[in-house]
Amino acid sequence: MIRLRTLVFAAAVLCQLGVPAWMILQREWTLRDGVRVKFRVEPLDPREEVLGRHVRFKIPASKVTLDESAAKPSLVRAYGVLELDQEGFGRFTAVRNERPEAGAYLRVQVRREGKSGTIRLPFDRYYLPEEVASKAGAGRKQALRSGKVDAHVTLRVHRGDGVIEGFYLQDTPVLDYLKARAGPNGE
Amino acid sequence: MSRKGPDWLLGELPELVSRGILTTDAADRLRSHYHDAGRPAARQLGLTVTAVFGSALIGLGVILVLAYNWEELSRPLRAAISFSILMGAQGAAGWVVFRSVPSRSWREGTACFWFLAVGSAMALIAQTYHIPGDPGRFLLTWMLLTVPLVYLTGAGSAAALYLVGVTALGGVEADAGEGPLLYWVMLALVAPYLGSLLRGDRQSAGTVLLLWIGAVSLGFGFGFTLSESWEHLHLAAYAGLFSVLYLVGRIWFGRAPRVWQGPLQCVGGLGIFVMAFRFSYGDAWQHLGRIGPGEWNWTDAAPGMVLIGTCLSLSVILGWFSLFQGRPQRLLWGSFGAVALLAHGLMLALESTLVPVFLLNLYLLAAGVSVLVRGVRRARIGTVNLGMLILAALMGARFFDTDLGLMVRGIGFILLGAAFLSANAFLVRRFRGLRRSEDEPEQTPGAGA
Repeated sequence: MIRLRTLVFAAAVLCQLGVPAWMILQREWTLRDGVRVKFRVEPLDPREEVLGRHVRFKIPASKVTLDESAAKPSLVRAYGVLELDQEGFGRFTAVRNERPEAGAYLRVQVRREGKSGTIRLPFDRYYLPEEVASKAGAGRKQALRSGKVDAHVTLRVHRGDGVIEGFYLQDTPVLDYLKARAGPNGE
Repeated sequence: MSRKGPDWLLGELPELVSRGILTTDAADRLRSHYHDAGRPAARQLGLTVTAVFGSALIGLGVILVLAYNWEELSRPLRAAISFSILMGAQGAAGWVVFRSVPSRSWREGTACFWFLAVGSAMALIAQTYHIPGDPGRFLLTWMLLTVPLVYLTGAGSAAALYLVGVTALGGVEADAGEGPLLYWVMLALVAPYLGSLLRGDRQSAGTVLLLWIGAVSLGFGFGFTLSESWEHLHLAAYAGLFSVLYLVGRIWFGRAPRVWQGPLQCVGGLGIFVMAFRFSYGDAWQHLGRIGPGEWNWTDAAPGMVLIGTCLSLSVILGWFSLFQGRPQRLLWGSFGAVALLAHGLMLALESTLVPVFLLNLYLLAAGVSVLVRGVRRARIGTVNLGMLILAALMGARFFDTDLGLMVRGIGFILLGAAFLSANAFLVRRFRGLRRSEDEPEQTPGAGA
């Protein structure tokens, strides 16, 4: 009985350490080896008490033409093939059921609508230090909500996985942008 | 000292006095003795509650401090912080588990902190890497990683947090249009633990708290299961659930000395009253609507049918068991599932709401009278008042429901209130007189010699 308890305890401890460790390793590999891709975003601005303050954003859905190789159901998990423009902004050009052998691609969910499909990426938040977020003031919030600022995120993409690397407002990293707007007194 | 025996005895005292087996003085002496004997248990409960709240507050505080999202902390440092908190919690729990620390408060407190540490570690990593919000996946991983805690520590606090987490997970899944299977599977993972508690001290504070949470969680679970199912089946399914909860509570927790120590009959009874009261109105039945030709769909109906079938089968078994125990009075409240199903069937067959409304009014009247009679027989003024409250609610509802004038309604309410107060005063005097007359032989000269 004691031995079983020891085994269960050891298994529980290992799993509880292993899951977060795997979460970290997977993302660190992607950040280290991934291709940098930019996406224009529409920022929103809520707060979440448990996970801290964050800027919430929406990457506009991409429309792609589906060929016969794409799966039939209305909502499918597939690989979205990315093409990068000169500035590094990504655009989905095709959807594959099989993992592409080369190039930049992301695991995505595609909603089929006839011969075309809509890809919606799951990335929706960028966490900020609470102090910076609160000092930024109402003007920033209003600007973010109204979409008057040009915003984009950079992702590292590796073997279908994507990890957010940075969030930019007017081509400036969000923290620098908010600090500059907040001024020395945080107004 | 276990409170199970003394609590039962204290609950029996009014009946023992009313039957003349004990005098009032003897009952008071017993009360005084067992309340004093119960103090160490109460002190232990206080320690446990403060330990659980303390560790929960620390755990939540850690989550909030980390949620501040310290700009200065590098990614490796953040990872080190989350792992060190988690490993600290694991170490403390390991010490409690393997050193067989007898203190219940330590066990409950460390289990609670361990549970929260697992969630906070994952939340901090999600924050560090801006992982997209997927509450369903987050809760599922958290709950799966913490199931072993429940069995390793045997702590009610971990099981309570798990039940709350699983209910939240069920809600998130239902909201996303997923089926209810995950909720039931996750609930089944702690069923052996809950079973072991029921075999042990059923009336301990920890077990009772878990049963309260479990009963409420089951109610939500029915909601998740029925959300995809047909609206027509909701009434019978919920009625069946409340009947089963009521019967289980009366059979296995019937001797609970305090009302809150009978969570299943409380939730079941309250659910039965609310549903019966709601469906004593005609518009509730009209809202259910009718089944048009070709509307019946087995795929949509299946989850509801399974729940109704299970609940009704259990009600029959539990009802038979009650009869076997010589307690047929439980059957009236325990048969609500069958009554609701019958009423719904009659509505569909007769295409009229009149008969089911009449049936439910009759049921509520009988249920109120049965509680009233039980209170009078056992000389319990609380039970008498409960029965009168049910009857008053029914009569009040019908007063508002009918097209009587304001004057008539007003006089009716005054008469009803006066009857309520007079009955109460009469019964209090009667119970007092009953006790006094039972005590008289003891007070006669020479009787105490």
